[in-house]
Amino acid sequence: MPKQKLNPLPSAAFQILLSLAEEDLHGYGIMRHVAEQTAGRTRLGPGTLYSSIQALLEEQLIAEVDLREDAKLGNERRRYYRLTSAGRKLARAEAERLADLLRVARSKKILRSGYV
Amino acid sequence: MSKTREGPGAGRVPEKLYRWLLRLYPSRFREAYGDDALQLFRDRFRDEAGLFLRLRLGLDLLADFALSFSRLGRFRQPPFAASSAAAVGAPSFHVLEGEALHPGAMLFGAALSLAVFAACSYVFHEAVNYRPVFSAAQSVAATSAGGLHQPSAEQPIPQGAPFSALAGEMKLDAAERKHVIAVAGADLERYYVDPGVARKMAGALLAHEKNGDYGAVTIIHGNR
Repeated sequence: MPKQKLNPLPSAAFQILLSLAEEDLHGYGIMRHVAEQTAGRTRLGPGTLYSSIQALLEEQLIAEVDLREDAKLGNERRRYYRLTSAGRKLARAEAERLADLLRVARSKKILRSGYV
Repeated sequence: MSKTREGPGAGRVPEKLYRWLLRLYPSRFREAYGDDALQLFRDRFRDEAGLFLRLRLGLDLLADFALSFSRLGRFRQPPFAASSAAAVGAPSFHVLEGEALHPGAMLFGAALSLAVFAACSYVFHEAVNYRPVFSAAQSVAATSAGGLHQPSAEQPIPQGAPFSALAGEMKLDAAERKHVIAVAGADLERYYVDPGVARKMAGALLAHEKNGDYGAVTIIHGNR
């Protein structure tokens, strides 16, 4: 269950959870994944990104795994983050909530059936 | 804030600007994520080349700073936390930052305080010694008589002279006296609240002047 601080789950936090669903990422990697999965509509800035990461860490929805280099980005050591099981559960619950909303929108003909 | 790692973009003007922007973030945020934020900036700066993308990057960072301000609340200190400087024997101040005051900051604060104190002292000293160039009597006479007694080379007014000294130099001859009284009478008729009374007073002034009652008035005394 989501803790009080992230209830409701902010959009940026949800996007971060989704970006970590398949692999561990560092901050810039998360930012790029979020930009890709939103077709460039969301570009998380440092303030939003790291304050969201801090909130997710405090709620143990993500975990800091290690400090390592990203071969593609040079020899700087970066902090990597991983989705925890609680985080995955919360992301699934949020996705289901949004899917329910989508079904309602379709039933009300707000969205056409071919959309998404 | 932990020591920032130098990267390939170090020294560039945009990075310097971003470092300045980072200083506006809460110190706990900078301690925890300052290096990562700077690294994120370098990564984006490197990957987003071109005028449009760089411009977008700058706008993104400014917008992020403005929009994430409320989210950064978790990084803020309780207001006016006592500085840990007291623990090392330095004077204790209540500050917004939790870090000990840097000796350089103490020195700068002391120098700034001295400068402000000296500036205030100078201003107060000048204000106490200030003397108007014109006394009230001079102003009235000069205005009414068409500038007869404005300061001139022939009648210099010493700076800082007391009112009595200024007034003592205001001499009237018969023509000036007559003119002053005529102007005073005209002003009375023009501005006094009761026109009838004003006419009577102006007439009385002129009558006294014709009778030579004001012949002894050769000096305008200023206020004391």
